[in-house]
Amino acid sequence: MDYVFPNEINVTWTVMIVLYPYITGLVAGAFIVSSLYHVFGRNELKPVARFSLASAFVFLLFATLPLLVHLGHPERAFNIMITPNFTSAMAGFGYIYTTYLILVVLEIWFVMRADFIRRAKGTGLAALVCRALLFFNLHEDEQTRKGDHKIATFLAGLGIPLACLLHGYVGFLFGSLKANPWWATPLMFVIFIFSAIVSGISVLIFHYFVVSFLNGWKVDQACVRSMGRYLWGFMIVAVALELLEILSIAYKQTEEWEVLGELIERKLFLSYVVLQFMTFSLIPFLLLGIAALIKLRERLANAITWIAATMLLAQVLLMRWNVVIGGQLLSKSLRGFTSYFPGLFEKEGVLIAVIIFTMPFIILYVFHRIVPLFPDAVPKSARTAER
Amino acid sequence: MNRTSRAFLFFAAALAALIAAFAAGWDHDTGDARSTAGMAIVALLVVTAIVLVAVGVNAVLAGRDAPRAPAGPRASYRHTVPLFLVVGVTVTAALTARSFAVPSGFGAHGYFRGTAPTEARDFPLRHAGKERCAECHEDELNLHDKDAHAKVPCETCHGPGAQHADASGDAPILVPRAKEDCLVCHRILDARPGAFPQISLQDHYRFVGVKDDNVQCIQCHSPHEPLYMDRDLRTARLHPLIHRCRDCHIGRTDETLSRPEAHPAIFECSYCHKTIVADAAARKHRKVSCTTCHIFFRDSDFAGRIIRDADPRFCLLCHRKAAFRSDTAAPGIDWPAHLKDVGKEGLKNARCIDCHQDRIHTIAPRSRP
Repeated sequence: MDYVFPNEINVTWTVMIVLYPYITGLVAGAFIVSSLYHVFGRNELKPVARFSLASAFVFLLFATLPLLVHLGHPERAFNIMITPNFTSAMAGFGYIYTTYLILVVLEIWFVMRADFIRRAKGTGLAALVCRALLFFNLHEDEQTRKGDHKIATFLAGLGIPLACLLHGYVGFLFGSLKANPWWATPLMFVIFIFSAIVSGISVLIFHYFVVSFLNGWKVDQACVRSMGRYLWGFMIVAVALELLEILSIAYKQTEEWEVLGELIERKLFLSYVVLQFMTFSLIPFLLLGIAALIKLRERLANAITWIAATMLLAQVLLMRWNVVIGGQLLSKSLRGFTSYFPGLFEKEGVLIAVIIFTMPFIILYVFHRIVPLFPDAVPKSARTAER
Repeated sequence: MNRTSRAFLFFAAALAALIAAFAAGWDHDTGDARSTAGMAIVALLVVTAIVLVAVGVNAVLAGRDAPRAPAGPRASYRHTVPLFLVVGVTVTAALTARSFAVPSGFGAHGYFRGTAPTEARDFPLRHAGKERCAECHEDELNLHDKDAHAKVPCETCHGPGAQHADASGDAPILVPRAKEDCLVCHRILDARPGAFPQISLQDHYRFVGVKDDNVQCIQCHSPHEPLYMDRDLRTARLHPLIHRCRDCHIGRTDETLSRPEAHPAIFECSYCHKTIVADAAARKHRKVSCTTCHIFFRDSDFAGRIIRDADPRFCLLCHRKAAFRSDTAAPGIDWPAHLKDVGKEGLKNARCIDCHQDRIHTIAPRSRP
């Protein structure tokens, strides 16, 4: 049981292709959280509503960067939009991505117009940029606010199917490859959407706590509690779907199970069975369950939620890894496996991945310097003063 | 205009959108649905119709209700005009720019650049071909054509040579000398067909007693004549297919003379050459497998050519005296000095096996040269 075709020895889709669905997933997830407030009226999520929208925007800016780094001729990437091809799944992604980017930019414009105006009235380069973004119209009153709110709600509503489409499409890229039994399943699209939402909520919780801690802000309990519950619900669905997928193949014992079983037992045992499911799914499930069902002291509940969110971030990354890399370890002959271990300093190595993944956070910080993302944040000292 | 009449206006518009959708969607001559773009327009019109109906129904229901409480200030959208204008202009500009960027001929034969074949044809030729090489390098080509690399074109190793040939040799050409260049084809890989010669450097160096890892392949093997065959490969004897362990068993396997218990006898030389194999097993070269010297070249799925190599340089591939070879390996021979020692100095056709046949195996009557 060890035969690979000559062109399968090297794993060509590397860390960058793992990072691409991961970052895209964060976009979709963060946008869904912002829509929960803007469209579905979950008012307890207000403290993170703009933060989640801005997060979706910055992650979206960098979603395709790993792909461009992966390409030998990145400038040819635009050919998929110049000469689109209905037999190419990636061609559709170019259009969906662009549409979604325009939508998110518009949404930010309408949601944050009042803040841009406030900033534009100041001085300096940032004020000038804000004035340009507002087309030098700083007029604001009850009527414009109402108009902005209506359009923002409409866009947020339109954004939900688009976010699902965007990330479902990433799942489609893998799920529609019928030659690869590890990828080819219609469940892939749904799994990707739900894992995207999980990673998006996770990164918001993770980041919200870190930012609040660094700035000495009081964490909004209702908001965190609500996000923790949403996270719990979505992670249950996501993990259940992931397990159902593998269970259905295992139970049916189709011919591909011969090789997939071995893939799971031999090649992906650590990253898939031990890490993705036993560790980074089971523990957050229990932790979030405890936080949701048992009345704990604030600090403990917060710590538990933060740890679970951080672990789920890793879970989704592991899931992307196991999908992308796992599918390539498997020979199309269904009779053998190749191996892959990422390098640290190579072109598509871990260092570049870390740099790419850090960049959205830097842009987010710059964004926050121009327009505060947590306008209602309460310093901890204020809380003690209240008492 | 009151609410009811506005509602009917919406219903009329929805109906118009639906009719337009039908008109746009179906080709009346054939009755078939039109292109994908046409269907996208249909979908858009249908969605528009649904939205218009919803707004109309809402207006009717609102008209039936009791007069509503004042809803506060009306929403204003005037400030959004520049934004949507910019977005609209940008998208239109991008789509227009795209239409200019589409290569001419795209779509002529489906989703391809129709001009691609002519473009490709008009590229200047970069490869010259073996015949051009032979114009100046006939000697190398003669050696090359009779040895193991006969089927490998010159430019596989030397790179495209049209420029070099056009400039009568003044333009540089690639001359690969590093062992990595040879290993591009000959490195041992699970994915290569077992019959293809593959080298594990470590094993090979141990076998021939090379003690310095920096030794290059070309220090022993001339790239044009890597195995020093004493006759042309094409005139070599046809032989039924020899299976190697690696043909079936992927991964590193020891190619030994003896087969494992209960394995079908499909690759053993002794199956046909029983006497010779038994004889060889009692002599000095017993640890050397038959195919080390009797190199097999696969011709088809059924047969190949087998070389019985007796060129002294072939023996020297293992027995050459060199500083980079250890003393404990096969005895090292300084060929010219050796000829002098045995009183055959200057004898061009001298072969090792003329004197040392007894160290290999006796020649059986069947295997005439």
